[in-house]
Amino acid sequence: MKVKLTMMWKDALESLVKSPATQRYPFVRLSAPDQLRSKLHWNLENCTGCGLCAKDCPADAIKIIVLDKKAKRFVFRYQVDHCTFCSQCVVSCRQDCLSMANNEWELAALNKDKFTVYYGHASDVESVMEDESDAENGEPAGV
Amino acid sequence: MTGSDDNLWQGDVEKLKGLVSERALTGETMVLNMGPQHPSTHGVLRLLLELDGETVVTCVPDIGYLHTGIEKNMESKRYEQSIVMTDRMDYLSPMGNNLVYCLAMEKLIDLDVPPRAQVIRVLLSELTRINSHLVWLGTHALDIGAMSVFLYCFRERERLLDIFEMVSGQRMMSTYFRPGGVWRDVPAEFEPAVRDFINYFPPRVDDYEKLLTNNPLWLDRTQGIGFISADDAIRYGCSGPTLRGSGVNWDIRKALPYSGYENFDFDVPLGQHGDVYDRYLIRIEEMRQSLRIVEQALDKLPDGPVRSNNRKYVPPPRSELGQSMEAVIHHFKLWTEGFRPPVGEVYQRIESPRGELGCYLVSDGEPKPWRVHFRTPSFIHLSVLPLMSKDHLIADLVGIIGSVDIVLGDCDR
Ligand code: SF4
Ligand code: SF4
Repeated sequence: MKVKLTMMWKDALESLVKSPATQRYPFVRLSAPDQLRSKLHWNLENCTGCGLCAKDCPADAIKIIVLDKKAKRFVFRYQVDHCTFCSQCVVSCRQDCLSMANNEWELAALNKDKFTVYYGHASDVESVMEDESDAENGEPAGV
Repeated sequence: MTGSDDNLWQGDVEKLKGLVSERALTGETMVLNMGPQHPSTHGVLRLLLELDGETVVTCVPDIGYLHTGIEKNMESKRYEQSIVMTDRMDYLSPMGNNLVYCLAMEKLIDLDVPPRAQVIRVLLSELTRINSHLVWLGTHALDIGAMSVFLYCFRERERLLDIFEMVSGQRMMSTYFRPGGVWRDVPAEFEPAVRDFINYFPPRVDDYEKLLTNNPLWLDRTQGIGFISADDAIRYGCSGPTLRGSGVNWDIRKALPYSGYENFDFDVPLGQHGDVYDRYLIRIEEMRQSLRIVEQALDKLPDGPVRSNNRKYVPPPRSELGQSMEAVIHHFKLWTEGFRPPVGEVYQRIESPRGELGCYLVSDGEPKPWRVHFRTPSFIHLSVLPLMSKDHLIADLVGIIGSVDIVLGDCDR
């Protein structure tokens, strides 16, 4: 019994003078390790539109929207809320277009729209988003 | 629960017949629902209890509240794509699940695993065991009323999660083991971090023991509670600490070694009484033994590749892609259609922190498995709950549930 109490007293006294073990988040953010797998990023430069990344994704989080293959007009739609952060797509892409950031782990949002990310040229992204919102609103997609 | 007051009972009494005794139907004993949302059921487990006063007459576990359909889902994905789902079954032992699935796959396609990867797998599996036991100890003690142990355990677990994050990039859903080895080599900071943990942890285990092992309250609440005899444990298919608590010497790491466990020196602690207390002692000792394995693994971690070179099943490293056309073809083939294993079936088992975790794979020669089934310890151990809890007080039931260490994600999959 004595031993027990000594240990607890020691802990309790030490804790009185020690700074807290927790951090004052969000004022202080701990840095994540380099290897962290967080939000996916896509680089249009080398992409061939092969679609391997989308095919291999176990969570169906990726869609490659090809507007014009010859002119390399691709839009990469990434659904953060579907993603399991397995990095399979990064391995699958032969062109090294994909990478996972190691510091974007604060992915929670109040609005669901934030979970769908479009990468690509601004004008292409805009037209894709328009098409998708039309489809969502039930407008006939050119039938 | 006599059925006279419609506001209290709107279910079908007929359905209860056969589950509870005749006495419950006449209202002599009381039927009580425990869970599915109950902090002591370690997830979403519903127990239908028949109580005589405070004594448990019958206990009927009802599962399915956490059913994820993972097994079925795996049939629609290629072999390698499914690894990511195994993490999510037993979420306290993700690397153990990765391991059993990868081993089963490797058995099916006869794939080699380089020595370095083998040792890394063993090392991380044992750290995972400690991690799982820490959560178990913390929550089990909390259930019984020891609050501080919970805080201590989670403090130590944090260090382990940091190590997992360092190697795999994720704290819990690591998806780190892949067929033919591991995803990537461990970083340089890995060894110092693990060494640090090896020095840091043993005094902490002693602390837990100081707080609990001889504590009269703890003894009162655990000794002689939730007894299961060795024969019953074997009959019900128990494994892991639940089986060893009853004195049966069966540890798959010793009996049917995998991943090179035969090269490590460790003891298998055994209990004598088959009660909650013995199962507690075993898991505490297992943490020490796991640490022994970790230390040995770190000392003899060989150099070399961490993934097999068999290009039929394992994609080439990125560095080869720019140099060899062959590598490009392999890469493309593997990631477009996957590999085609031979037709057949395999069963592979490992010693997970909870007991025997088995993976049964059936291949029809297609890139997707025809059937995947997991034999999970949590599911089997739930079936002994009625036996263990019979004639105990309802307050002891939470201790008994804790002592078989179930994870409902592991049970419903
Ligand atoms: S990390 Fe995994 S889940 Fe996320 S987009 Fe890539 S392949 Fe899909
Ligand atoms: S795998 Fe790479 S190159 Fe192919 S579509 Fe995806 S990002 Fe583009």
